[in-house]
Order: sequence, then structure tokens, then C-alpha cells
Amino acid sequence: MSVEDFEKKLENMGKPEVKSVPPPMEIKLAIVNSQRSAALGIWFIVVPCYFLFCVFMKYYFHFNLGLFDTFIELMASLDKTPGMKFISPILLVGLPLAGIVLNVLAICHFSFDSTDKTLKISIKLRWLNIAILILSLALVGIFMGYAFVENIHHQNL
Amino acid sequence: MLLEEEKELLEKIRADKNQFGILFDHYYQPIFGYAFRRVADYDLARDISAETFLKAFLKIKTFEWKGIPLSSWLYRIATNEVNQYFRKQKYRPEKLGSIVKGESYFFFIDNGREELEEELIKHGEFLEIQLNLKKLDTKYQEVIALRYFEGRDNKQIADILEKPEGTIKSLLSRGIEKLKILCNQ
Repeated sequence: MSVEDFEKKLENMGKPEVKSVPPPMEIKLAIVNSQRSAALGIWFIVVPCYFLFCVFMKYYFHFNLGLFDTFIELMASLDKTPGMKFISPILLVGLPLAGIVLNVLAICHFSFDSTDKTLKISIKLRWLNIAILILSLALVGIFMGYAFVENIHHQNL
Repeated sequence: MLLEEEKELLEKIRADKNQFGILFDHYYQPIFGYAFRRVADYDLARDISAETFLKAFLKIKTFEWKGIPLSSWLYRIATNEVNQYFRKQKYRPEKLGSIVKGESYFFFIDNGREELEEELIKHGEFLEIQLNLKKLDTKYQEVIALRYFEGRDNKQIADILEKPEGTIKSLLSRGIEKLKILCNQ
């Protein structure tokens, strides 16, 4: 067979078609959302982080950041308003908790091996997610710790 | 998709990354088909195409519009992924692992495997050529696959591989000669 004939053979040869394979929705969602959990996690901890930063600046450096007093007043008024008491716990603890769940799901993979009856947990080293996770855990720990200590203090009075 | 439409889509994606889904829906099949015809393996082709789109998604903000179709850019990324597989013979998608959650993830998307395996069996002549093509250097593999499996002309191949048309022509003619010998024809 000449090279030209071989070329013609290649041109006319039947090829496998992939029309039966639709674009997989799961891959599409995973790709488009690949950076979202970390970004959302950051938004969840912005307010509690700012609050904590203001507290730190005020009580350790005696430096009052402008918005801090307004923020405290707003929290206090929300606490006194019936039906609004849940806002500050949601802002300070609820959102970082949501950030924790979101980022744990983003980096952990659980699989159950039915033959060995073992649960395998793998953690992906995605540093942004891990950093946000640690920060969210610290925030929840600080606010829960504060609430706990305050409660004991009030009970002792 | 027309060149103008692609340019518009690119601007939309830059403004809102969710619009990338349109590009994915439009080009997933051609890219998956290209990967499948190159490697003749359903799972591998699926990994390669997912990695291709993930890399495109991560790099699309830096993509410079020079009048070259987005499809050529996607084919270029896919070609690099396929070449990476042929170099290492063990494909490990770099980016995909960070978003795909293991085997359970693929449980949902395995439809179509049987049909494609049947398609391969039906095209024995193609499979024979494809097997021999794999024995060639990747620089010949890519031009032959793009020309004869995907039906691209020299200009399009030159755009995809970012090589001059003259180079493509000579790679094609040398590659075909080598492939012909391997096929005993």
C-alpha cells in the first residue's frame, strides 16, 4: 500500500463516537464549586474575627476602633428585642460552625470498605480550607469558652 | 459555537465564573471523545477530560483572546494531559484529586461505559491503528490523532499545538510513514 492510500484509509476509517455520553453534571458542579467552600468559609468568619480583633485592641491596647461601640450597642439592643436574641449567637458561633462543617466536607473523604469492615477517612491537604477550619474552630472555642465562663460567673454571684 | 459567540462567552465567564458551565456543556463531548480516541480507555478519558476542564476553569482568567477558538485551547490542554499519560504511563490528575471525592463520586457517572466499549469493539480497524499509534513518539501521535481521529485541518492543528503549519505538515508526513510501517502496510 502506498503512503497516499494509507492516508486515504486513515481518512475514511470509521471512528468510535461518544454521543451516548452526556456531560456529567457531578464533574461540572465539582469544577465550578472547587473554590467556593473556602471563599464562603472566609465570609462566615469575617464578623466574628472583626469582633474579636476589636475586643483585643480595646482591652489589651486600650485602642477603641470606631465601629466597636456601635457593634456592641447593636448586639445589646438585639439581645433585648424579643425574637432577636438568636442573632448574636448565630453571628459569633453559628457562622463559624457552618464554616467548620463546610470546610471539613471539602477536605475529608469517608469511604467504607465492606470487605474489611473499615471506615477510611482521608484528608486532603488544601491549606486554605485547613487554615479557615482552624480559625473557625478557634473562634467557636473562644466564644463558647467565654459564654461558659460567664455563665459560671453569673451563677456564683 | 462561532468565534464571536466564544469571545462573548469568555467575557461572561470572566464576569461570572458560573458561566463556565456553558463552555463545559458545549465542549465536554468533543474533549471526552478526543481523549477516548487517544487512549481507548473509558476511565482514563473521563479523568483526562475532567482534569482538562478543571485546568481551563482555573486558568480562564489569564486566557488571552487572540482570535484562536476556545475549543483549540481546550484541545491543547487535553493534548498535554494525554501526553503526560503517555510519558508516565500512569495518569495521576494533579488538580482533579483536590476536588473529586474518590470512587463514590464516579458511581453516578458510569453510564455510557458499556456503549463506548462496544463502540471500540465495533471499530476494529480504528483500534488497530490506535494501538500502533501509541507506539510512536507523542509529537507524531498528537498530529495524527488531531488530523485523522478528530478531522482537524493543518491550520487548526497548528493553533492547538502552537506550532507553525509547516512543522505540522512535516510531522504528519513523517508520522504517517512511521505508522504505516508499524501497521505492516
